[in-house]
Amino acid sequence: MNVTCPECGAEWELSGVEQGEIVTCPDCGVDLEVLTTNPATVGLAPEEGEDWGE
Amino acid sequence: MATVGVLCARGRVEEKALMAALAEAGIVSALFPPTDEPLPVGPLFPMASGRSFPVPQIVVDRHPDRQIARAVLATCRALDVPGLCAGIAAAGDRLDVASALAAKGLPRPETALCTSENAGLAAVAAMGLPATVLPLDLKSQPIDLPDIDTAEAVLEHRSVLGGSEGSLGLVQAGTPPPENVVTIFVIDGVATALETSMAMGVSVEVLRLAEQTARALFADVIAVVIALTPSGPIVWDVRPVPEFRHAQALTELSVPQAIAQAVQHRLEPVSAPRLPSDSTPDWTNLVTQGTRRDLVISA
Repeated sequence: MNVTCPECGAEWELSGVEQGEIVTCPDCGVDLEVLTTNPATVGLAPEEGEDWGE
Repeated sequence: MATVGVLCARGRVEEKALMAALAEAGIVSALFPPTDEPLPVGPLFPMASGRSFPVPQIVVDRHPDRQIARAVLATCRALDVPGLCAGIAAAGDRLDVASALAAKGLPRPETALCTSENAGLAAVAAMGLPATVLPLDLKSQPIDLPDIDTAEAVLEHRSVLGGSEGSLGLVQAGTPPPENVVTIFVIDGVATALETSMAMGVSVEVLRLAEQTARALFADVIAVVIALTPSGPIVWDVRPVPEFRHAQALTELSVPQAIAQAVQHRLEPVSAPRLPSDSTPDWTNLVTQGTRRDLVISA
């Protein structure tokens, strides 16, 4: 399963992961969350921040 | 040794495109500062390791964390390394930017500096709703206040949990809808590209306003967020380190190519003045491009 890093555009093969898992881009090092596994897609992992009490 | 240091946390799409454009222009670049390497402060002394620190000839500010960027840019200035950055927006915060633009008389929304929850509520009551809270740190996103319940919740939460940093902020009148907002990328004083979801074209007036904003902030590279209001375009916000992967070029150069060109101009050797053969020198014709004066970027 090839995925593309939304931060740096690098493509690499991702295998043996589950939805919601945090992986690291081998190119730029950013933390990514596995959004879906079939097909494999990743998004920027949520950072800790304000939730405004919601 | 790298000629150009691209100041960033990691190489994103933008930094990769910039380094590719620099390479296309024959300029060597590298991410800066080198990972896990301390920066020397002041005149260069030999490092403990015996190696010399790889000082670039010029630094392009692409760091998303403004606190780190400000520290590194200041260190670079101390090392006499010029930077290509957003001027006052690179060195300061939203209050510095708003103050500089107001001093130049550029059109902006009604704005109040609020230092507490109550001040924020008073500002909202005076301006009316909707309004927008803009944290002083340019990295933080603006927060829309569409109604009084949201305004009270946001301002209280920022004050209680955010401490003095959360209490401090600008409140701006209005909340421009996305279709009335255009982001203009200004590089070396020229509107080079834009991003917008507006259906209509962008007027020359808007482009000129963005260029005036960049000049007022002494910015080499900046994105100016302009809101179109019934009374005309106003400067809503600025982005010192903008993403430009979706930008539409306004000139024959893309954003990374335009930045590379700006770098190239600054790396050109200083032109020695040629004395005219006439006995009366005409100093007004001296070429100033490439002199040290052009390299000063600090606010």
